[in-house]
Amino acid sequence: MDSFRIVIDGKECEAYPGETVLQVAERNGIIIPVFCYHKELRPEGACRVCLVEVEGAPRLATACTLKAMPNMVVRTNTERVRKARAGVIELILNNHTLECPICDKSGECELQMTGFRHGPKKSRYAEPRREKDIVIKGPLIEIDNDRCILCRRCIRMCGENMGNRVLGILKRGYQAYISPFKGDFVESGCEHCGSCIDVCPVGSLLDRAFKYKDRPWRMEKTWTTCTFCGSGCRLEVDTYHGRIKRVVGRIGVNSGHNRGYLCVRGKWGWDVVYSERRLKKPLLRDGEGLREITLQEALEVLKERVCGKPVNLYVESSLTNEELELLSAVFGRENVTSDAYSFSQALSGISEITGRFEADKLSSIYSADIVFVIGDFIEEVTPVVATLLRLSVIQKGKRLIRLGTFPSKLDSVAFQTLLVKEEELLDTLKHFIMGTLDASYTSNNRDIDRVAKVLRNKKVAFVLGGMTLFSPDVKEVAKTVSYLADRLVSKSSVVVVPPKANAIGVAKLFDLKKPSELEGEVNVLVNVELDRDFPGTELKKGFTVLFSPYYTPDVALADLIIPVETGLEKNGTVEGLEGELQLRSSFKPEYSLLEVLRALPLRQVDIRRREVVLNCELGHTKLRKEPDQLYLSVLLGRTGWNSVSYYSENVGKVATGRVLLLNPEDGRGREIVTLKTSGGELTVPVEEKEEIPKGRALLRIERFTRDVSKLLKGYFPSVTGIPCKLLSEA
Amino acid sequence: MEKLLLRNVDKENSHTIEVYLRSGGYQALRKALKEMSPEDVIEEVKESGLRGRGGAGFPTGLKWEFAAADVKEPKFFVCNADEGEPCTFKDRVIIEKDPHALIEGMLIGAYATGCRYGYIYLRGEYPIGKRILERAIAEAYEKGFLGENILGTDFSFDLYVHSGAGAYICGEETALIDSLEGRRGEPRIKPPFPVNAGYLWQPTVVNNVETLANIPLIVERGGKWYSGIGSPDCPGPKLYAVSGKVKKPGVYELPMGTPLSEIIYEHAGGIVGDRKLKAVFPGGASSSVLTPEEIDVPMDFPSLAKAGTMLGSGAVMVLDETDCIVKTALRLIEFFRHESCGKCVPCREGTDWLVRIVRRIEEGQGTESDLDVILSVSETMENSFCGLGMAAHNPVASTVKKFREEFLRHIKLGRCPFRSG
Ligand SMILES: Cc1cc2nc3c(=O)[nH]c(=O)nc-3n(C[C@H](O)[C@H](O)[C@H](O)COP(=O)(O)O)c2cc1C
Ligand code: SF4
Ligand code: SF4
Ligand code: SF4
Ligand code: SF4
Ligand code: FES
Repeated sequence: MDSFRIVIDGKECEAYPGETVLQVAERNGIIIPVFCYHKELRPEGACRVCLVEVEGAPRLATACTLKAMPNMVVRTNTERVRKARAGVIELILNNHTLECPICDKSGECELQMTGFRHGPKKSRYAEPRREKDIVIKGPLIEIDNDRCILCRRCIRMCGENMGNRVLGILKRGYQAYISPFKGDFVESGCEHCGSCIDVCPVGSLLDRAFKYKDRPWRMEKTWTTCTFCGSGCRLEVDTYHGRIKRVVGRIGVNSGHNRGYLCVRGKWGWDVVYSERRLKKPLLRDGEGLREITLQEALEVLKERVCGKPVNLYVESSLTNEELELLSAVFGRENVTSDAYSFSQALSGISEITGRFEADKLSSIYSADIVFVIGDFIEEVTPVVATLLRLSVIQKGKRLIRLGTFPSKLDSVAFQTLLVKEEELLDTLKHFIMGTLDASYTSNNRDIDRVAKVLRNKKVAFVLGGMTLFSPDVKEVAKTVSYLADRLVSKSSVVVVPPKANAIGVAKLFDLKKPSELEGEVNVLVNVELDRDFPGTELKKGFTVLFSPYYTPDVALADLIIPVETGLEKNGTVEGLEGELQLRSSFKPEYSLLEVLRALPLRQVDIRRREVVLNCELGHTKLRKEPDQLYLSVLLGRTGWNSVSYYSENVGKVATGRVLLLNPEDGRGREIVTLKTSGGELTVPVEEKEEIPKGRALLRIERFTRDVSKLLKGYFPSVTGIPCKLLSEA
Repeated sequence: MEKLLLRNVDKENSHTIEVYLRSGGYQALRKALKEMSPEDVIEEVKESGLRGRGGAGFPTGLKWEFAAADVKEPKFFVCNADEGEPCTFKDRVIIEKDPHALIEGMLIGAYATGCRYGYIYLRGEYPIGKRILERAIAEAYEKGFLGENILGTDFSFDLYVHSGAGAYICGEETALIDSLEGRRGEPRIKPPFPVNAGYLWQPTVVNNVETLANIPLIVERGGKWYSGIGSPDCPGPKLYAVSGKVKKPGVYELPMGTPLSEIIYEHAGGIVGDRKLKAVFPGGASSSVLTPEEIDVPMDFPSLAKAGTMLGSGAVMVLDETDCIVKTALRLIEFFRHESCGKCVPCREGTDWLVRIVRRIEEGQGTESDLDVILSVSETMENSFCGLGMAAHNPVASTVKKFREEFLRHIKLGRCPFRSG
């Protein structure tokens, strides 16, 4: 792409084909006011405040939509331009409520700033103000249309960038207003990603958890990393006197790889810090009951009962690198298990092909021609990764192909979606290996052949993630994908999306075992919830210590319980999709895991290097391919992931219930069924959906409770591909 | 002058294919398909000098050339039959009385530009037209003028009628396309233009009903012949819809460039009750007003532009001495406020502000400085997103400029002087 020159306000500027005058001006430090324009959104040209003069053009043009052309001469600050801009701003201000003293946006409101800098100096409006008394309240979001300037950023954000199409305009002309399509956020399919609020230039779209809570100019802002999933989103935590008031993503300004996009957990889950279920004091089992003890006493018990003994260490994988290092130094690393076990299997599969126990960075999707997603429910497990994948298509023009078992939100932007049964996933990948090597190969499936043809000679970024990482075939799938990537002509990449914030760190640091393989004498559980992180397994016998921020069901199993901090209260690092990510907190928690550990004696640990064995032989599925077999997948949804909806009152407001999704042919009109696996039975309501493939039972849950965990007995670490039966309810 | 566009409308059952065929209908299509290449057709239309009758006056041949040059497939041909501007009713005559001329024009255009599918986007309030068009399309299919391999050639074309839902903005071609796609009708950013990225982001030709009705004539008799009719730089026959205080309101077919005075006094029979002419809006509700001293202007695109107004759709609205100009301006701007889609600030807010000021003046509550505000708001509205907002202020701003005295009389009297009491 050859660049060319244009002149803006007398300054020679370099421009690239396809760029708008506004983009060129911004890059060159020339400020043009905007309302409807937003860096992350498709230009709309609606507000008309970015008007500029173009030499030779009779009319003023909007810089946000005007494509730069060679030799263009643009002026952004003539009398004519200033007058036109002020005229537009005057029109917006005429009927604006100007209730800045009580508006949450005040202090960071674009109408305030732009109005002050570029607006008219005095009002000529002699009419009574036109009120638009239309307030729409959702559980977490509120629209106050009286403040709305109808820039439509929210509509484009929700519909195009997020792919949700919740928001729209009702009525037209001066009566137009913003509303969820069905009047109600939840009913209109809002995911509560908060992106609409983030891009709203004024105080119209409001975060209800923040409403009237504080003022932007006096809060302390701290950038940290969200630890509710492996997306690793960078976010701004705003506090006042050490108390969190809100979290903002700052889309377009945020320097993280998430560019400011968040999901409901990152945006609203911060109140887990203030959960009523937080542990307040160390507890010691005393006979049948628990008794509060001091931290000092707890340390004594630890030294006496745990230190020096062979420890079974259960680590949940959103702990920081620093915590993990110290944990292994204090408790040893011979018998470690983690919810990252399944994820580490994927890396292990890759290492057999590449010799390296690691995957590529997510940013490799931006230099690829094709983004090939393998996995189901990435949008539930790691919502922001799904958003970034979607945006790579609609903003960067990548071709997205997806292979999975269940339909996905990503399919609406996919060039091709291939839905196959889990037990056929490996075979499908093998068809691609053959099809890309040999142009005459046919799999007898037109779609597969078509994809193979597209992949040939292309630079592909394979992205493996979502629930597929919890499949019995996870290692083989990762290995086969890695093999395929290795055989493609140009350098292709394989990204494995970590389900939790530091799954990579955990997988790299420890040689993980399954819980059943642990050989220690005492148990140390850190941040773990057994039913959630190790469903279907039983705790080993022995003295049990639980480090946890919350009063979890496992408290009942523990002998010593020590409160620790949550992710937002930590300083440290995690190993994320893009390498090391920083956690920062502006306030000190009462109990800190690192401080507890520092008070304990270290033990001698021999650092064994991980042995990587190359093995290019591809294996087969562990699932039985029987036509009538029904397979169960347990999906912990977006809000419930990492138990966020259980501890966050905010997120709890938009949590959903437990339901079994079945194809109508499997559901056969039943409203409730009993689901039976080799581990147990569960009676659940049924929802029939055409989109669910036949032979699949998708159990959507908000929380891993004991009964759900039992269903998975013997299948750790899998939560999908579980053989099951349906028993009719009388 | 020989009736060209209205040649069939007085015949009994002129809307049926039998009558149309008997008057030589579909001969132009036959000629185009059998004797001319698509390039020949475009050349002929270019030579004719035909400019679009939808309001903007864009050269039709040029538009077709752009569409033909785009290689994306499939392409779409859309007839704009939304005719939603107050006092505009010229397309309706063709839709109801000569639908086959429209269909034939579309077919020839689709052949010339390589379009496979067509839509007629019909004003929602034309239910009779809808029935007639649907019947005409069925007849054309039956006779093999629509469908696959038309007249035994490689050319295939399918045509559908789509009814609007009563929004004036959907007459704007990109809003029309959005609406056709099933969205809320709002104008899109141009470029890209519809000829490159229109319906479903495919190349799309949008032409007005009257524009298309000219096509069979041009193909049959030649572009050269056509270019000899009316104004040399803007030729052809034109339908003028005359309404208001004339003795014989109606649709008149006259050569482009016929003087406005001739239209009012000779063809429309002069002013009702032989009263004095007060003002004329020569090109529909969004044109700037002309005073009695200015009505010798030839009614074509360039002449009216030179006179500071526009031909638009050619709807002539006549006011006489008993009409209140402030009230007229109010009614017109109220229409635009109601029809503004609300996408852009100048139109959405400007129309409302103008309505409020003009209403206040009309009610006798105005001040002289209001008139300056009107003119300045009208300037801001020039920066609107689409043609609606860019033109909506014309009837107000032009009346304030040319009938300032009458506005001032409302302000000073504290009431409308035309209202008794
Ligand atoms: C607000 C607005 C309304 C319009 N309404 C119509 C209409 O009702 N019918 C029409 O043919 N063109 C209408 N147009 C013009 C169309 O945008 C377009 O220019 C025309 O259909 C092109 O056809 P032509 O080249 O044959 O004139 C309108 C334009 C604007 C800005
Ligand atoms: S929160 Fe997200 S999904 Fe909900 S309306 Fe806003 S952008 Fe759309
Ligand atoms: S709610 Fe906010 S983002 Fe949406 S249109 Fe109104 S001002 Fe713009
Ligand atoms: S996607 Fe994950 S990391 Fe990002 S905000 Fe949501 S929970 Fe946090
Ligand atoms: S000028 Fe603006 S508000 Fe008016 S109709 Fe056009 S786009 Fe809509
Ligand atoms: S910023 Fe360009 S029109 Fe709104």
